[in-house]
Amino acid sequence: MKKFAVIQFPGSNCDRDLLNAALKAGAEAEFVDYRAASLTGYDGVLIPGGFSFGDYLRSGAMAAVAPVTKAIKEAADAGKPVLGICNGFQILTEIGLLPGALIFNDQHTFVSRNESLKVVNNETAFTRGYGKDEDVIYPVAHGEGHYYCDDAAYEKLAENNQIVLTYNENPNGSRNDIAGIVNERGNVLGMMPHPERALETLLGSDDGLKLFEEMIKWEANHV
Amino acid sequence: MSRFNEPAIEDIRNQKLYAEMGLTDAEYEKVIDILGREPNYTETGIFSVMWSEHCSYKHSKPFLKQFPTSGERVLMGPGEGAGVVDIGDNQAVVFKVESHNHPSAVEPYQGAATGVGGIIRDIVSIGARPVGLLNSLRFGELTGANNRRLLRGVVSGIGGYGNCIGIPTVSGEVEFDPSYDGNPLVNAMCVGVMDHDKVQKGTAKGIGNKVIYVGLKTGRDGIHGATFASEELSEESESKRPSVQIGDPFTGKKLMEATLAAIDQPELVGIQDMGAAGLTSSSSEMAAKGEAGMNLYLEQVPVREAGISPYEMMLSETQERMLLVVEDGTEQKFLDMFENFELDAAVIGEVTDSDRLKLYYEDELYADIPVQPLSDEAPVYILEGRKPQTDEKIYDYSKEDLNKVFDELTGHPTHGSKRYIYEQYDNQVGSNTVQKSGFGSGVVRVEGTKKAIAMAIDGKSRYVYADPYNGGKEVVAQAFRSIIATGAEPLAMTDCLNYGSPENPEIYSQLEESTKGMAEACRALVTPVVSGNVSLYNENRTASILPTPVIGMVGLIEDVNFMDGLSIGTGDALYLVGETEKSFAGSQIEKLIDNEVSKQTREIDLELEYSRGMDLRRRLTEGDIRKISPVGRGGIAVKLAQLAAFHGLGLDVSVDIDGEDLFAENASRYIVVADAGKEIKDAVEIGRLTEEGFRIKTRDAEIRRDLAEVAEAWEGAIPKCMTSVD
Amino acid sequence: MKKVELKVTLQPQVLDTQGEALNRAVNELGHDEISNIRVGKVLYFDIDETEADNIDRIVKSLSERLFTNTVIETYEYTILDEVSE
Repeated sequence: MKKFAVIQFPGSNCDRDLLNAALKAGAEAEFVDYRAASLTGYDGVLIPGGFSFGDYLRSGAMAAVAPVTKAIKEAADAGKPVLGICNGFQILTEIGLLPGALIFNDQHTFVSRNESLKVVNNETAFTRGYGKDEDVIYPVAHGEGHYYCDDAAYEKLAENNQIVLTYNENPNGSRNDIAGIVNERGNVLGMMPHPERALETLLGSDDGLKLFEEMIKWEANHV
Repeated sequence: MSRFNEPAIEDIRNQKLYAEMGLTDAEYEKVIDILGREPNYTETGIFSVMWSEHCSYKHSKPFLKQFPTSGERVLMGPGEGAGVVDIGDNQAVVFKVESHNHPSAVEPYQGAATGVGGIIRDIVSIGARPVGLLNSLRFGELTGANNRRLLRGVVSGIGGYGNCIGIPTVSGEVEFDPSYDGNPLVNAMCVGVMDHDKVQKGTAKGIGNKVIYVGLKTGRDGIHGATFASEELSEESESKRPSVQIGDPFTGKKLMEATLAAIDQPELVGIQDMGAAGLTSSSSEMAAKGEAGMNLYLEQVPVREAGISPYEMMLSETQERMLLVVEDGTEQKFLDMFENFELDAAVIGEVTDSDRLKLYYEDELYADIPVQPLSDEAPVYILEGRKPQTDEKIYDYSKEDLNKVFDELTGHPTHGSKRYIYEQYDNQVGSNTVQKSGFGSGVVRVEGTKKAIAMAIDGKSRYVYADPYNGGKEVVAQAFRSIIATGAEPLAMTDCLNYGSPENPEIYSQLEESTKGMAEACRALVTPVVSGNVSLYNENRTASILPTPVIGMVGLIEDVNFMDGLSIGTGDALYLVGETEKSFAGSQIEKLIDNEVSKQTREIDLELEYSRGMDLRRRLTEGDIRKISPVGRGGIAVKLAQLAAFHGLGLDVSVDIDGEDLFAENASRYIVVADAGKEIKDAVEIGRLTEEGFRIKTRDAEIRRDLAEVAEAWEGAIPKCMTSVD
Repeated sequence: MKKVELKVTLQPQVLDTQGEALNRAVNELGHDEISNIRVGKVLYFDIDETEADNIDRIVKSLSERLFTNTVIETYEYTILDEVSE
């Protein structure tokens, strides 16, 4: 059975939600403190949303120099799946596992709502459960979710098919409506929307479940 | 006492420094009686905060006594940080509402943020994990730049704190009325869930047990300005200037998790939040409840800067702090635990058998006060109220252009969509939010169960002004309606009484009459009061605010899965439940056309309210009807507009009433959506939901609009005011 | 012991939403002569080091590792007076 590490930073607040999502999809999952130096024994890494270290200085900035960061990079280098959601996405860009940066929403206020998104790349090992250009609903909840990168970086993203998820109604001014991207190798996924909050129709949407189910089939997906 | 430069005992008496701190001459004499001597500076400060309205309820106590506070499900009523109510399976719901009006008027972002932080700590200190936040906000009209500034600041402060700490903000209410110009109301409510056996009390027991301080280091935040005002201005005094309390949700989050972990330890004796009057109220109240004494060694208190005096420490309102009493010998275990959460903590005292609160600073005694009289002998004032004259007024809106009235009301910020506000709040963190802000109460599932808690907050100040007694009843009934509309069984309530100065006889009478009405409604609707808060002296330069009791209510849904897939759509029938009467005192059409509230009797039948509500609730959970929406401000017309705009559905309705009655606001009415041809008690089928178009026919008038027009007016009500840059 | 003032600003090509909002507000107040507002952060800290080269190395290293995100931000610093101990 697959076992995932859910990283807990001081200020993480979607950690329980993410752990529950992994469990619901059929994996084992455990919290791992940000002071841990190793992630051996885990088949993948989940970096939750929240306000790590209060998001003081800059979202994700202080998490990026935490002890566990080295272990996250090692897991990524080893080809294990690494998923960063919301603050987790911000951390992944801060530690250089994903290109670009997340800056303040254009309207400069926090935005929390159910967001309609498009899975523009269903060929990653994370998104094979979805149809090409399938519309899904995941909630968003962020103040700094505007995805920024320069032209060269954007062209590279487009060329390598690294853009995975786009907004149908851009809530924050993100470049080219980008909501989620993978690294070149395809094993590190960062996104602002919250698939872990979209697991049950009772709560508004169950469109996120497939993402976690695909992560459990990792090797099979990743030939 | 040479260490700190403080006024001498004689100066406090001769220069009446106690008056600057808020004590009257008689209260000062009473302090001398209790102590058997004149109080020193620190002691005067302690009495002044403990005997403030905020801590002692000296003007409101007699009114609060009217409220029923017990019931089959009530596990803990008022007196602790928050009320606790049974929800079965050894689980309980914990909740309270509190005001942060004055701090929000001064600094809206921090005022609102610290209001949210404070109410969260109240819930956490009982041992519950918070699952939902609500807020009730009132501002002057958004045509005023200052009101827009206050709205922006308050909303981003609420979001800034709640979003960061990771508790979903799931419901709220907002009203804009000129009466709140310069005196906004910011009431925050928090709801938590816990197991019965973990309920904590703020108590200090067991001689020799240790007192632990945990949280942010103490600074000079929020200390009342008495010292400052009585000193010559110098560089030294400048640095002592009292500052606004600053919320730190990051530390708040760590403190919440650490507190919940501490509560799991059997060696914890008691715990209390350091809220208003910080260390003073937490230490003295814990000692009083434990019927013990307490010694504090204040040089041990973690401080942000050197030179903070005992007086300043005891009165500081630095946020994100808790006070614990733990079994002697186990203090290191707690300190280690807090260290792991990266929080400052220290042992600052111990429980004694002396029945006195003694404050030392490096062996010097700064206060020696008997614990019980400090809280029990706080003065209570019973004043003489004066009922105002009832107005003789005949309402006639039949000549008005009702389509214009409809447009004005639908597009007013009070009735329009609150999306601008609630989209700034994370309303789904925790992944248990079944119903969030937008239309109706919040509903949050109890994690790992099929149960859910419905939570609502409401106030109807214009009704209370028009008729304090019956208006008081209506405020409770309105919250009751919001709860039953989710299918939940109402359990209990919390109240926040926002009024003007009780020393004004008319306002005293408002307080007297409205609380009497509220108490009756609590009994009739079986919703005891388990916690609450009072905020008086809400006045701007020219007048007092409208009397604004705010009710927070919670209800229980046994199996929330009935809501999965529950929706309404084209072809569904609309029903109006309840008789419509020409009730316009306190209404929104009266505000629009006459620009006043006339003092006239309002009517409400509480027995009917209860049976009607409970019947509809049952029908909803059984799937017999699909939506219940209480009729409130703006009457049937505004309710139908909100329903259509929120769901993007048109409607075609015909009601057998006079046109003006579409805007009447009498009690106990609902719009219900269900299949056509249902037999619903006291209801008439009034029309259908349609693809498009919006039409309401009456005996003598018709409102006819495009759905898009209604939706645009409703959606744009607040944004259209907020586009201008202030 | 020296005191350091470190200014962090968004790179010129990155949209500064705070700056834009302030610009609008200032223009609304009738000050059309003001434009191009950019908002940044200032950090002050004490550093137990006196050699300018060492200070430069430490400040640059920390600025690039933590104080700034070099994808969007840029920085400059000034060494202020001696801090009295």
